[in-house]
Amino acid sequence: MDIAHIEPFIEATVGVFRDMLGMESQFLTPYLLGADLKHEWDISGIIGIAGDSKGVVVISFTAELAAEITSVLVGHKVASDDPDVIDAVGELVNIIAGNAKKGLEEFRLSISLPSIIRGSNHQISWQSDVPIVGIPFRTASGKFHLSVGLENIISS
Amino acid sequence: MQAKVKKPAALVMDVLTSGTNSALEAGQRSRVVFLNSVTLAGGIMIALFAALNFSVGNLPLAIACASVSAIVFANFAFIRATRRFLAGGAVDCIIIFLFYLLLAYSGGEAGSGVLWSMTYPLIALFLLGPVWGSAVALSYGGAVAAVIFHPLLNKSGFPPLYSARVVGTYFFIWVFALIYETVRRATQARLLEAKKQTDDILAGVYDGIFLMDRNFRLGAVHSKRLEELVESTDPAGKPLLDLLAPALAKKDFDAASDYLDLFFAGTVNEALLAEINPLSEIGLNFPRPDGSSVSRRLRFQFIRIASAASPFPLMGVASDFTDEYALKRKLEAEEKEHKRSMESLFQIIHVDPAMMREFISDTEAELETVSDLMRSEESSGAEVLETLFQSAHAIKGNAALLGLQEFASKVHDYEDSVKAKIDGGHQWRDLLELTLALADIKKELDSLKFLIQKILRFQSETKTAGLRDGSLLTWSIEKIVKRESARCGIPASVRFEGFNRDSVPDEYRKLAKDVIIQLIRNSFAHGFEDKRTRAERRKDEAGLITLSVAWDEANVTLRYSDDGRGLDPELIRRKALSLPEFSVKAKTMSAGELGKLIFHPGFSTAESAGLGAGRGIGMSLVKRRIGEAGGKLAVRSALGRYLEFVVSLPIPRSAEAVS
Repeated sequence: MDIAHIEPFIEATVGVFRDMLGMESQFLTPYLLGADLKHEWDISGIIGIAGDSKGVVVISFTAELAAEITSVLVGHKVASDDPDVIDAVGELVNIIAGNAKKGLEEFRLSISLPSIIRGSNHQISWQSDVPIVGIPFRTASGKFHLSVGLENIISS
Repeated sequence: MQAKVKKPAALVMDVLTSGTNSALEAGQRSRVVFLNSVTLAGGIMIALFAALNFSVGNLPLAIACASVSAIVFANFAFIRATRRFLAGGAVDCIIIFLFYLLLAYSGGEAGSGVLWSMTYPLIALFLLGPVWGSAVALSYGGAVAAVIFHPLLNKSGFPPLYSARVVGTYFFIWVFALIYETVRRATQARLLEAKKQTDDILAGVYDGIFLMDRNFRLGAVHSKRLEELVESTDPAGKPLLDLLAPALAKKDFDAASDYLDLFFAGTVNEALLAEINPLSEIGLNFPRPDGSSVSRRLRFQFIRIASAASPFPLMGVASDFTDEYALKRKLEAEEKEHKRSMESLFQIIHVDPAMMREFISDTEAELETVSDLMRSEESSGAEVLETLFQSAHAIKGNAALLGLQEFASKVHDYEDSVKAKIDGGHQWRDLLELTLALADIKKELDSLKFLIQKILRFQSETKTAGLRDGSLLTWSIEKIVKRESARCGIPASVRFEGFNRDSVPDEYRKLAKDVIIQLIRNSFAHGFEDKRTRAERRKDEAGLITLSVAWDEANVTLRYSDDGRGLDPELIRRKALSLPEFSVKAKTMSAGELGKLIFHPGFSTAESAGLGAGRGIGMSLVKRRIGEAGGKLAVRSALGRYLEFVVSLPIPRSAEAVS
């Protein structure tokens, strides 16, 4: 796993949270994510990556943070089960993916359109032979989480 | 100065080429220049003639001349405006036809007017080409013949034989002009065809092909691809090295500059030159105007042109092998990876699979523990780093003892980078980097696990594996001692007292193993003396490690001792004095206090850190692990005789129930 392939996602995420939502993100200690690990996320955006590296980057949110994000974006308070939430998070992840793309231009990497998964405590089945790194963040309105599982196709 | 000279010259060129300048190819251009020159000269001449006739009062001729002159100038304007050179040429030919005929008819000085006629085939063929030119020239020849043969028209009164010679000469001039023009046209066409092919090749070829003069300046003709390869839209006339300079490392630039000079030294042969070419495979980094840069790997080949007199005596061929290079690198990396996994495989098949499986599950547990700590939001970065460091150390020790050198050295590198972050301070990015590297170790472990499972399956199929008597723990300790003994070149054996299958409770199995491994490493690194010293001290040549386990009501007590040199308080004091942390305290410490220092993180008496010892982490790991399990650790030592560690651990509940 190459840090240079991951940093653009982190920068894009933190940048979008700051510039679009006015939320400062605090970095927490990253860790290895067991494949079967239970977690508390309610909505996730999945971005596929292919090229020199292949795998996925997942951005996960709690329902509260997702509702808060939606509220900021639509301009009025929404509940966490509001149908707008999934659209808003989808849009947010899409923008993050788009911004991350800029930082990845120097590599032979292409990234997919994000897909959104919703459901409390949903499980993501990862490719079993690739270790997953979890990168948690804290904002004033709740936590979000990047999970990265990338396999180097061409080692640099 | 130069500009002043150039300007009228450019103006003349513009006038004579009807404004096409150098747009037409050379053959056509000379034709157009000739056409315009003839038209202008003729027009001016006839205008002068008209003026002369006006001044002498020959009004009819003056008016005739003036109108012809006007027609000629109109033709000039027509050519310039429409660029229909053939039509303009035809008009000129007709006017000259009539004018020359008039000169031949009127005779002039001793009938010399007919001499002008001799230029007519040249003019007609040059302006109108072989077919129409011949038709016009032969018509004119006929007309002149009629004039000079016919008694009524023959004003000059040429005798018929004279007239026949005039016509004969005219005919010969026409024949030679025709041959000349035909050959010229054919040659021209062939040249154009050849040039077109060369141009097509140079535009389409995928290599950069160019010629260089004696100053290594590029010629005007080069392949289109060269411009892309050297990132220059107009490389013609520039020295090759100037083009490459911004992209080339200084060292390579100097080498290339010296190298090119050899081509004209004359003494070095071609084969040798090709061999020592510093640009034969070169990495270039071309800066782009927008601040970015483009990396390219190029091969340059230089060939001396055989004809020494050539103004461009050196040919260069540049080709791009960037993709090829990337592919090669990838293959090399894969090869290396493959070799590594083969080596791992060989290392693994020398190790008992059961021990191996134990190692893997222990290491997985270790990684799990670390990861849990990292996940917990209460733990600070410093705490995480410390744990990472200790865990890496423990994993490395286990791996090295199993002979998994590849894996051990990978973890060793990891340990180094953790150490660097602990010493140099860390930021969030460093933690991410370490986590990613940890993921790589995990991946390595997974592939080891995969191999082990394969071997185990193979062994269970071939039924070579069987359960051993006694405890796996004692057996693996024996193995470890044997391995370490071979690695350090010190003979040693191990004796067990009170060990049986259940003597170490399951809860403490991993702890006991981790601790014993560190202690064994310590014995070999610091305890056992060399052969001579042992003989002097009347000890057996082989070092002896004694391990015993005993139970009482509350505790399991594990004793580990070696018959090495024991703790040397003065050695420890010297080391402590060199560390800022203890430099003052160490002066007054008692032997007992000094002994405790070996458990201090970062304290080691070894000179440098290697796979075996020297980090000063093993002993602190031992102490910490025992502390975490609620146990106690004591040291007893006699200088030059022995060193003993006594570990007592509370009896776990599950074992209590059994007993």
